[in-house]
Amino acid sequence: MNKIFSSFRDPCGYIYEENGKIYRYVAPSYKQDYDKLINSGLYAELIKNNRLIKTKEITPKNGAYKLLEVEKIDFISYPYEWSFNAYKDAALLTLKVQKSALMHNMTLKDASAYNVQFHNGNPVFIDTLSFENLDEKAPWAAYKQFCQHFLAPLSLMSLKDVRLSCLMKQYIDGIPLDLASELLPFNIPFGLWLNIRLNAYFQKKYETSQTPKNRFQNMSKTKHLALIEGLTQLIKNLKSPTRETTWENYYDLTNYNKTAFKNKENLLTQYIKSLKNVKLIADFGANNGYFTNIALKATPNAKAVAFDIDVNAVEKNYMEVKKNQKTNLLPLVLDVLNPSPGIGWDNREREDLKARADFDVIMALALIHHLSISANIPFDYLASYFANFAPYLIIEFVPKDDSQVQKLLASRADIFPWYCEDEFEKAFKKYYTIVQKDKIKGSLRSLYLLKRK
Amino acid sequence: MKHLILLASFILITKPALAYIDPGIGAMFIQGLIASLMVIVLYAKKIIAALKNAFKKNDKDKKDSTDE
Repeated sequence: MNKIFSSFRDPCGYIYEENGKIYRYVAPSYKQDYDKLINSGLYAELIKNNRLIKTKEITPKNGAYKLLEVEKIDFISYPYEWSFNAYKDAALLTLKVQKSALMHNMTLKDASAYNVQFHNGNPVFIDTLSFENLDEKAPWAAYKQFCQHFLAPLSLMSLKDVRLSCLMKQYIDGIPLDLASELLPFNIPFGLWLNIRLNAYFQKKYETSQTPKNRFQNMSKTKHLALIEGLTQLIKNLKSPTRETTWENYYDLTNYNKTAFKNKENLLTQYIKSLKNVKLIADFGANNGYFTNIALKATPNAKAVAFDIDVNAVEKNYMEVKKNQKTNLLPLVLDVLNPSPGIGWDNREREDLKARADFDVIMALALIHHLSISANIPFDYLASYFANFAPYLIIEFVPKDDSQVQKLLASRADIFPWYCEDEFEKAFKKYYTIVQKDKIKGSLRSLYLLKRK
Repeated sequence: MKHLILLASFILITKPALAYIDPGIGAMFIQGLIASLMVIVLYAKKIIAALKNAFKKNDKDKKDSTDE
């Protein structure tokens, strides 16, 4: 039994992994709330609407009130890896779940962004133990957390800079509202002024106050629903940021001609088809997911995570996934040069990228020159890094004569005598064997299918 | 004034509220206020929508009667 470290905060249960399956232990202390979740019809409603992760009750053991087998998520992602609209959808899902809970006289006892995961193309609430009986008069205990985990990051992304979601990496309990208030522009919608500025002011005012927590009992079900409606409208009205980025139109600027592009597609298809049991692909530097989709077409039962540093490219990819109701692709924001670290207690509460990776194939197309020339990463480091993630690697080598590499070298000294195909192969052969290598016709580039040693 | 007294009385009534995360006293205070405001806004919207509908219906009725 491998207890999932991040589930230590909730006294009502925890998650563990056993034989590749995920289980949720429900403690006897959660009996009343669990029974109400099931008997009120809330669980059935949430499952019907694909809003809650599916669970199956199995024979309890180790003193559990219930033991649930939980549907497995292909790849655990975190808020600082979501594009703006993905983050917005996660926030709206949390509010919908809270609204449904209120209609069944229950409430969410927490509203952490980490309770939402993207599963089969949609956001889904994963914490079955977040529901508790509603005390109508009591305020929503998770309101502050919702503001810090969703409202603050989304308003900063929308009104200031979309890259500010990275603050969630620093603040595991959500962006402090006083900081969000400082960073936001002077003129903000009245709703944000109330929920962020005034909220931050009152938090500071009551910070050292001895006011008993039971003093604020002025809510009612109508007010609870109105609060959720207000937050929903506020989040719906947050517009996508419009800042232009470097790589969002990458495929319009690439030096590929039609023949080379088609040949690269064909080779990729051929490589993927030659692999057996491909379940999960990771595409590093996926841009808008064009080649990720080519790979997925070649292996229809697989799923893929498309990583890119460019927030607008990831956003485009996410909107395509949403528009076409794709269930097999998850676009995420990630800087390969500075991948998501482990954060929180013991740096394990939210795992780093490597710890979460359970991929079968890695794709790194037209990426190597950015890593080696722009960021001086030696081939050896690249090979050992990629070998952490999957048994197979499909990688494109872009030689120095390629116009894209020449662009990178135009403004700097060429301190890369080692940047050549021979050295590339020498370094990667320490970790991989070359299964297949092909020149991409109509270009100077080569494509490799490598198998980890 | 009546409304202010009503609002203050809402705020001052007491009953224990316990949570496994810190709800924050400031956040507990402000959400009562925001929720009250939202109730007013939502009711106002409903009333305005109902009035608009009623006027539209009246206009339509008038138009229909003149058409006849």
